[in-house]
Amino acid sequence: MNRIYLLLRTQIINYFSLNEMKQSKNKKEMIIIVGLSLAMLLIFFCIYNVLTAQALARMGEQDLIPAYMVAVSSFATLILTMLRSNGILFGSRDMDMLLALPVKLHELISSKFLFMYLLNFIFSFLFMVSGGIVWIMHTPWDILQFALYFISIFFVPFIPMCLASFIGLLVVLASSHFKNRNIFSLIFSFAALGLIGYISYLGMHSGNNIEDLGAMLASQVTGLYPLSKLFLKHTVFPASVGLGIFIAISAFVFVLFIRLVSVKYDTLNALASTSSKYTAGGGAGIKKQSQFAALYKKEFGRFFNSYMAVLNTGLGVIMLSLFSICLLIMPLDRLGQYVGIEDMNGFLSTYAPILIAAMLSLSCPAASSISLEGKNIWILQSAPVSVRQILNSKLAVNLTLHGFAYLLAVASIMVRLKMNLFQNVSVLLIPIAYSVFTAVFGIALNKKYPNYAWGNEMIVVKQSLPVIVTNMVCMTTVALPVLLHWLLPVSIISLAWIIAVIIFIAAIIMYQRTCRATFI
Amino acid sequence: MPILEIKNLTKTFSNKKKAVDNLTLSIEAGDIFGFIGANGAGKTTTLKAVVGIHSFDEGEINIDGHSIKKDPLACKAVLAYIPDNPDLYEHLTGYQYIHFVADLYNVSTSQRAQAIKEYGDLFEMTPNLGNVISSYSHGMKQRTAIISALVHSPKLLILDEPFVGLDPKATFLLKQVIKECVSNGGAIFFSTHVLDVVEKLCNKVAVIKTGKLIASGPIEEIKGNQSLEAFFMEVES
Repeated sequence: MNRIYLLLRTQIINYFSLNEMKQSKNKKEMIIIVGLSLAMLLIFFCIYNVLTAQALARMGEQDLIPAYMVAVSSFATLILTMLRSNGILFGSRDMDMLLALPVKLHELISSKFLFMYLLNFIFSFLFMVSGGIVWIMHTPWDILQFALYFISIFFVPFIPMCLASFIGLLVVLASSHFKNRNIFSLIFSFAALGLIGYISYLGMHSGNNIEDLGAMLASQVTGLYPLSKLFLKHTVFPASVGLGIFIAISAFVFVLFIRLVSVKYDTLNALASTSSKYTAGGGAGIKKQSQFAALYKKEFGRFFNSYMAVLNTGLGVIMLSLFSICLLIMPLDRLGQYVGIEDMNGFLSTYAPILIAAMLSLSCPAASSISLEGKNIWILQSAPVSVRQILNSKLAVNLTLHGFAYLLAVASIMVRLKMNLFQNVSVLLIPIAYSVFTAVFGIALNKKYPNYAWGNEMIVVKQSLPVIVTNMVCMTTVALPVLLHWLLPVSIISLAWIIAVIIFIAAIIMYQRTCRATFI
Repeated sequence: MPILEIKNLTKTFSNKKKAVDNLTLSIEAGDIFGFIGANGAGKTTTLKAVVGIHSFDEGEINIDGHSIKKDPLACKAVLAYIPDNPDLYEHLTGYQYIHFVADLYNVSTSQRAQAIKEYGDLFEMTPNLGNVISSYSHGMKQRTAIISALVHSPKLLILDEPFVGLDPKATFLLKQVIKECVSNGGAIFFSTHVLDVVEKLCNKVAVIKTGKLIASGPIEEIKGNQSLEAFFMEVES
């Protein structure tokens, strides 16, 4: 147990760069930014959960709150673990070093799994505690049931984590047979995510009885995550028994998974760590390029070579592209039915610029692109290239990705929707401002807070300060026109224009200031 | 005019530790300049400041008449740097990496083709340059880094522990390349712990201890009648 704790502690210190943060020149500034970001995240989650739970209570469906919180947090755990299990559990760079230490394999796996559990536990905790408080306030006093509910918080992440890791494993196994395994890993991962989404959609929309709201909601919630049924009140056994069964099943699945993985862990880990061995031919035929072209090509290759980077920072662009394709090939009313919007034409005519902006803001590879240089940073630092040129190449990759999804979205919207000139111009220009702002804000923040000493790409791609803050700030700028529209008697598009102009100017100023640096 | 001139260089880390303290030295064309010191003495920090990787608090570094602070691109254009652990872009092939570096240094197609042929064959890397770098051993990465450093015919070659990880043949070849570079009017500045190499290869040496320069100059003057190892042990004790 001591060794698991030691491994876990070291992993936490290493993963979150805690020592670097402590010894940083900008220690105070960093603590303020991290603190504010975490506080914003905490407040956002709590408010969202409390409002959702209160809405259920107002409908007289307070008994659904525990099942709802379990279902949503489990689904979030499933998706989030899928996006990172192949970087933490399998294929992390420290494995060679750790496998040589006198620790048992199951201790090593347990520490890796516990680390992933800790990250997911925070989500479950936020969901279940905030929702749970509302539930207790609207439910007759039952100490055993309440106690079991709060104990179950510790067990909620187990099964989704095991399931996601298992899917991650299948992706590793399936893609390991291919020459260019990164691309196949990505294809299989997105296929798995799509399949999970589709199964959940089917589960939520089967057996709905619109006349019985309670039954319909219960069916939707448990359709998303069937095990959450154990949190509903049953006639066959008391609710506390259901909670007890849930805890027992979760613990059993977790222990079983660890034992099974331990048996073939070294083989699986070797498969996940294997790099592509393909040969790209001789040196002849490669022409001289400009500095920018060389940097851009290198950066593009680097991005697409990183399974983690594409999977995590390309999600918004992929979602927008898929939506645009659906918009092109599906009848508008059918698409509206799928996403639960009656007047799709009217909705998209108003919200399309914000929708595109939101999807683009989710994809910011620039926010981790400088840190991703890692130990290779000396190459750029010692080469006769200006900081502006380096930043331009990284921005260009971000904008190219955005450009692909943006063009597809704008084309499909303009072809399928009947919009006036102002709406057309808004769809064309507002997302550009958001795209530029997202990329520039991300790179500026990464320039200020780079982390070259990572052992796992996931640290900088998903959990680093520039990525988290960029996502939060960009999503806030997207939400701002909607929030202001509720408060002020101004149209949402006008507000989106005002925000777009402000962030575009801010992006220009940030870009100029960041490019003044002489050191990267 | 010296190719490299370091005047009163001082570098303090964020934890207030003075890594380099008022260091001054000068390297002329034709010099093979060895830089020795214990672990943590400030060798790598000095080299990184020279090549523009680290900023510094006080002092001045001039390369080929240009200030690294005021005109870093002009300085970097005439030098090449190989770190102690050459972490290269693993997703590129050896060829792609060398061409990438050549593009950054604006090297003509004919010059790079000639350099890749010459040094690829010399270091026996030509058959492997088409493979991705992630499949290379440490020594192969080191040799690829050396080829890429030579592709633009630098005036000043800065090497951090260049012989670590190289096999005896590659070590011998690197020494030959260093001598050839110097005979063409270039200069070499390298850090090492292998005092024997310094004694046999270098014409000048500098000794650094806890960030301060202890001795600098022609190797025979510095060590006197004793061996370099004996001199080093004397100043370190």
